[in-house]
Amino acid sequence: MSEPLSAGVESGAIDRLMADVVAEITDRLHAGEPVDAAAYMKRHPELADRLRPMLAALDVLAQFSSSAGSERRSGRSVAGEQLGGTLGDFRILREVGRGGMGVVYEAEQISLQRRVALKILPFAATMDPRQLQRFHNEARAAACLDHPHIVKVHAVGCERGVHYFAMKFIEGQSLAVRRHATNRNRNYASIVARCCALSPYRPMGHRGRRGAGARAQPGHRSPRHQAGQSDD
Amino acid sequence: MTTQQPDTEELLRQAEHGYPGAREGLLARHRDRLRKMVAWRLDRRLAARIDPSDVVQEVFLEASRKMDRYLRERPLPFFPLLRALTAEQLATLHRRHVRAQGRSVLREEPGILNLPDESAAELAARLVTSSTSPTKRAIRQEQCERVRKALGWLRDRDREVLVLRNLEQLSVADTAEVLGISTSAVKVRHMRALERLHALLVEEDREDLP
Repeated sequence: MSEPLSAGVESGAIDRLMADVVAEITDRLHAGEPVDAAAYMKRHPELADRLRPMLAALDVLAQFSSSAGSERRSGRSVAGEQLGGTLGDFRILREVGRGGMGVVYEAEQISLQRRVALKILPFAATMDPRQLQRFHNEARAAACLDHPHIVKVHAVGCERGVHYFAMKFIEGQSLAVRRHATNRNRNYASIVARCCALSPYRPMGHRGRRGAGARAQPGHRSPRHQAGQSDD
Repeated sequence: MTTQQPDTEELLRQAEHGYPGAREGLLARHRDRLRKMVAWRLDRRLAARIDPSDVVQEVFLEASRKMDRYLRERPLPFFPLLRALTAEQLATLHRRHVRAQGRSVLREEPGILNLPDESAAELAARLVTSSTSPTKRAIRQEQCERVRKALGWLRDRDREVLVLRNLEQLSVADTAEVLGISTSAVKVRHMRALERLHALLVEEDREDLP
C-alpha cells in the first residue's frame, strides 16, 4: 500500500467514505451540476470537519482551472454558471454580471412569464454560513425597501442547493461602465448615495466602493440590482 | 466523461481487422482530453507560440505509425499509450526550445506543468465582466499565484493526481488507468492531495499576515 494509512479499521472505513464523497463532488463539479455542500455535511456529519477544507480546496482548484486554463471555460467554479437551463421556476438566459457575493443572470420566471434578474450565490460561498446569512439578509433588506431607485425583490429561495433571489430586471449598463462613459457621474453618485442612506447598511465606510451592482437606464434614474451589500 | 472501455475495445478490434475509419475513430475520441493535457503541461514560454491542437496532431501521426505494432502487442491500454506519446512529444518540444535558447531558459522545477503567472492577470481580465474593478482583478491574479505556488510545493504524486482530476478533469477510471493504480486508490490519493493542498494554502495565508 503506497498511501500512509492511519491505523485502525474505523479510520480506514471513514477514509474510504470520505474519498468516495470527494470523488462524487469532483465529478459533479466537472459535469456542471450544482453542489449542495450543506447537504453533504448533513448526510455525513462525521465527515463535516474534514469535508469543509476539502471542499474549499476543490473550489480553489476549480477557480484556478477556469482563470488559468487555456480551455477558458472548462473549469466549473460557480454552480450557477453551468446551470444553463433552468433553476426552479426560472429559465436562465444569460449572465449579466458577477461580483464577490454572487452572479447575476437575466432569466425568465416561467410561471409568470416575466423577465427577472436572478442573483445566485456561488458554490464556494455556500460553505460559509455567514456569507449565506448575508445573502439572505440582502434579499430581505431589499424586499422591505420601497423606493423607485431600488430594485424590487420578487422571490428568494434555494433550489438544488443553489441559493438565489430574483429581482426586477432593469435594462441598462452597470454604473461601473457608466462611470467611464459619461461625466454625469455626480448625479448617479448622489442617487446611489441616497439609496444607501435608505438601506439599513452602511457599506461605504468599511466595505469599499459600491456601484457594480447598480444599473443606469437611459432616461431614468438609477435603480440598483442590489440593495443591501456591496459587491466589491 | 467516463471511459468508454467497450467502445474502445471494439474499435481496437476493428482496427486490427483493418476496418476503414476505425483507427481515426480511436484517435479522435481522445482528442479533447489530450488537448487539455497539453494545455496544462506545455511549458509556458512555449505556450505562446505553440497551439496544443498542433501538438495533438503530431501525437496522432506518431500513434498512426506505431499502431500496427501496438495492436499486435498491446503493452498497455490505449489512452495511457496516447498520453505517453504526448509526454514524449512535449519533452521533445521542450528540448528543442531549450537548445535554441541556451541553457538559461531551463526551468528549475523538474515537472513541466503549465502553471500561469504573468498571463493570469490578462486571462482573469478577459474572464470577468466589464464591471470588475482593478482591485478584484489583482485579487484573482494573486489567488492564481497562491495556487500555483502551493501546487509547486506538493509532492509529485499529489500534484499529479490533482492535475489529472481537477485541471484535466479526467474521471476516476481514466485517472486510475493513467496512473496504473486502482480506482479506490485514486480516490484516496486525491483526497489526501486535497488535504495537503489545503494545508499549504492555509500556511501561505498565515505567512502573508503582517
